Amino acid sequence: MFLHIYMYRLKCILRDKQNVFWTLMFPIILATLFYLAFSNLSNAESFTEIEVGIVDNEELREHPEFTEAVKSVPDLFNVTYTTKENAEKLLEDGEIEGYIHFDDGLKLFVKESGINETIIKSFLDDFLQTSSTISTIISQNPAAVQNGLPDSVFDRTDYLKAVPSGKAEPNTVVNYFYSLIAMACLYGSFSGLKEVLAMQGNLSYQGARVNMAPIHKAKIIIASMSAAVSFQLIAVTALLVYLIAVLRVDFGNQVGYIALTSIVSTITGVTFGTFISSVNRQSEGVKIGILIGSSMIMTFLSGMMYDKMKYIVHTKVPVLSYLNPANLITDSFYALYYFDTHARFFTNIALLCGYSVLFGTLTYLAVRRQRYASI
Amino acid sequence: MQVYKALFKIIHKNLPQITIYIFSFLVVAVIMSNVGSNPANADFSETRVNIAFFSYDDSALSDGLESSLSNITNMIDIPDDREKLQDALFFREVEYIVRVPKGFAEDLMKGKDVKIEKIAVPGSVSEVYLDNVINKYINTAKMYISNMKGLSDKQLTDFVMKDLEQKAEVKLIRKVEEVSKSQKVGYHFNYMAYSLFAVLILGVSTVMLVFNKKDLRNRNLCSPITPKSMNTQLILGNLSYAVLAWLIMIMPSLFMFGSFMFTAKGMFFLINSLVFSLSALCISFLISILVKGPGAISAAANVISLGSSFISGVLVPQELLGSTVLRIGSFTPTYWYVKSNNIIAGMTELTLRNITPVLYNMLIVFGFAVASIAVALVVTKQKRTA
Amino acid sequence: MIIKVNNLVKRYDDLIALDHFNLEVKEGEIFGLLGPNGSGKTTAINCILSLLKYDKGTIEVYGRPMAPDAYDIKRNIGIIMQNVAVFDELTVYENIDYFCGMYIKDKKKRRELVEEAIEFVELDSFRKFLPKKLSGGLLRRLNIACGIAHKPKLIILDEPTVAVDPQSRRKILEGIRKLNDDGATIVYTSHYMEEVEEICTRIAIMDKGKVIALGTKDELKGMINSGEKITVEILEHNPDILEGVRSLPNIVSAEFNDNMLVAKSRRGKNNLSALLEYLRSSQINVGRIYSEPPTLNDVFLEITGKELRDHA
Repeated sequence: MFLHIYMYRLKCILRDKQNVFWTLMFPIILATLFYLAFSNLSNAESFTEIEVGIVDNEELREHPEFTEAVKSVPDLFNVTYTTKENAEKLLEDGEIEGYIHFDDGLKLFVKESGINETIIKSFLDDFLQTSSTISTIISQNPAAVQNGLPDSVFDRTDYLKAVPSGKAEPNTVVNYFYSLIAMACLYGSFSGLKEVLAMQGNLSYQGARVNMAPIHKAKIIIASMSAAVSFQLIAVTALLVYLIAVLRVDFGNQVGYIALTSIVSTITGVTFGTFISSVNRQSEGVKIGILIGSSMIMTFLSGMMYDKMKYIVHTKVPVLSYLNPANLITDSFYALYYFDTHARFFTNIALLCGYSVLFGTLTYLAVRRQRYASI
Repeated sequence: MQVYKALFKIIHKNLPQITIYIFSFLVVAVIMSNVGSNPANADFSETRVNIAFFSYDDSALSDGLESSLSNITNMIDIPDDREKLQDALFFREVEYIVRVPKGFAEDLMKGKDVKIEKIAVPGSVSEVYLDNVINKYINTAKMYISNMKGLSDKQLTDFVMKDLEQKAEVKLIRKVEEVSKSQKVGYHFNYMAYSLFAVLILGVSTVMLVFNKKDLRNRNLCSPITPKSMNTQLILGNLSYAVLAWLIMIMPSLFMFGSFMFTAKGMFFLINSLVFSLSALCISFLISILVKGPGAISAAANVISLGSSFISGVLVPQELLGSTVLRIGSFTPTYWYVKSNNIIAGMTELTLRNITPVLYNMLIVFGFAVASIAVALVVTKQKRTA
Repeated sequence: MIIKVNNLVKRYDDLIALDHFNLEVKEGEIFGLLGPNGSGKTTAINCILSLLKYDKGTIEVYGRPMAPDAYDIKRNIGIIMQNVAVFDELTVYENIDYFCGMYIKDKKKRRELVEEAIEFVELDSFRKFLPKKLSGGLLRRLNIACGIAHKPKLIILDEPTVAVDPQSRRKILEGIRKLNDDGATIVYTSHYMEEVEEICTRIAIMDKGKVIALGTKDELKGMINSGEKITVEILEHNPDILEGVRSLPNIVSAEFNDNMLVAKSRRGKNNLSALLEYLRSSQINVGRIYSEPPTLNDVFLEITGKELRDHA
């Protein structure tokens, strides 16, 4: 009996083209777009040599130590020595970020205020400051010159020890994909809605007929919800496989935990849909509107449109981040990817399980109602 | 004008869905005009990176490091809690975390091997920058230590801090103010591409779906309205819808940017968006012939407007997109539209030489319009004979 | 007694949909529930089926109180709703199989039953069709097949012929009679009196949530005062003729309708011959002559003072 209902409900869900498009195809399309749009984003943040022009004039040649200093940082700059006029033109065309001109002192010409310009400036500051250091030392301890002071100028020690921030690089882009998965899981609510409509006598004629069958309502609910969860799992798995195998999004290496997250999240999504559609008697269109609207808000708050949103909510209104299933799903993947411990991951999973049970119970209580007030 | 009137009645019925897109555009437009509205400075200002600084060393030298860093960065107040720091770094609330260990100054002066802990986004610009700044500070201290014996912690710090006061002179070679304003207008118009496209696809497809329905088409063919008059009315209707949508969409820009919109640059933004609207209209017309039902319309409207926006630099700026993506993007009019907006936004002065590429781009956008109409005509002809 | 409803009251806010409604359906009959739209037929059915809450009264089916979890009762009921209740995503065969499977576990038996149902409604060549592709009449037949595939002993049909073409309607009515012949008790609601008159063995006429008359169709017609309606073709329209006819002992009314004289009589014998006798004696030339027995509409009209017919 269970299998009979389950198989037919699954068939119904699979044949609903619109539902299949939005829950299966749309997340994959969106993932592709994210991938195309964000693939270069982390490169944009990473450092590449800064294009700098240096005006080659008399005054520059009077300061060989400056040229030395420039040479000592080959990884920082890509230097072009040129005339003042050409440097101006290069700057205007965006070929260089700024040019250095010795003209009655060290001067930097830039087009805008940005991090690369700041780095050039800080290099010039560095040069001036080092000169100041040397002259202070010489004035205080003239013997230092003989003791190799000039040589030690460019002999720099790295006093910094890098500590990894987490298990993996803090690559913000992955969060977009994680919240996309959250969206896909929440779209399970559409199948949930469909199932409630199909079994509720006061919501559809088919439901009335189903109600006349000599079967306990709980059996129908469980079979229908299992069908919805199964389909949604197929959709989420397809998305995950696509993300991992085709788009090569990094999930950390924990297949078991990822599977657990997907299953729990899917159940949360489906029960959310059954909950919303069973507790009110609005039309199907209104219910779909509620589902789309709420999943959009929830995924927005978990960072799907603007990654930092998740952090802002987490620090400013922490309660909200625990109330938002989309955030819990996103955060579970994030925790698996980034954190070395599983404490936060399990908190998320526990909360998601809690919401599934809550939504499921509320659905049952609403659907179980045996006779309807009106049909 | 029966057909013309009917067309607007159909659109009126589907207004809620269309309004969602217009509304979301308004919200984003208003948010964007407030975000980053820091007054553009005519002087050069250093970019301040957000950092977290923890010192477990009680010394003048580490206090000096803190104060010199606080001059050039934004110090964010976060507790030294591993998970909180991880979160903050991941979402770039801070980009660099410094932890000075206990006894750092003392060990440094004793000549011991000392290290400061840093947590950063590996290979990022801010990492390179702050690595240099911090190493510079300590290396300067080290120079004093190795060349001047017997300096106290306080004396040493004073010397270092005095040196760090030396700053190079920076000159900004042009007025940023105007460019930053037109940049904002540029973003505004770029984002408009998304909503405008969606609104046009939704409206035109819904209307054409009704008119292309078999029984309705047959009834119309039997009516005393000649096919020519009917088509003219349909074209006129769709055109007025597109122009109306365009007018509604540009309204916020007139309110938000005021007189700027009536300068030559502002006019080019407006003309560019009008050309884009016409092109989007023609593409919507093509889509309306290809889709089958109302479900497919909202799918197509979403995927096409969102898709073209993603790969053409509407949602992520073109300079941040990979070259392959841009090449794919160039098969959409959105790409050329955005490109023109960026050129207009970046212009300091308007000359014929400057504006020529914009005119060429408009021509390309127009080409998309012609091409989609041509395809649409071929498809309808095949459908009719089939 | 298959169904026994006692003093059922159902309110929708201010509206009283069922007002002390009573009903008894006996085994083996085709019981008709006749009434105009909005008279409470569907509400009554839904209450009997325990789909609707009600405010007062008792309902027994097969001698036991009907409840949503009375599964052994439900097992023997088949319902065909007024609205087509099938899934758009499932084919004809799958739809029947789905609903049948909720009653019959055994797969082999189920397959036979589904085949029988398909044959019964003559949808054999459409078994792989999706409901979207079926015409209105075929869809109604599918709707019926979904309700009867599990061979229920009690079949409740709620307006199964609304908006159905005459040919399909005939098939449906024949089918109902066949189901009855095979032993099923039928409850049939309709606002088409011709249908009810044609197939029902016993009829309850409903109005405003109450049963206002009950019996076989002859019993019902016997309840009222009107007798046959006599129509005579007369070429001359002489008001004197009307006067004369009206003065006949058992005639209630007489009118000209085009070139027909329409006279309504009271119950009784020899009304027609008395009228013809009068016409002949008045030397009036007579064309065609019809005599019709009273209809259920006349019954309804006489009890409620309004027409039963669908004016829509």
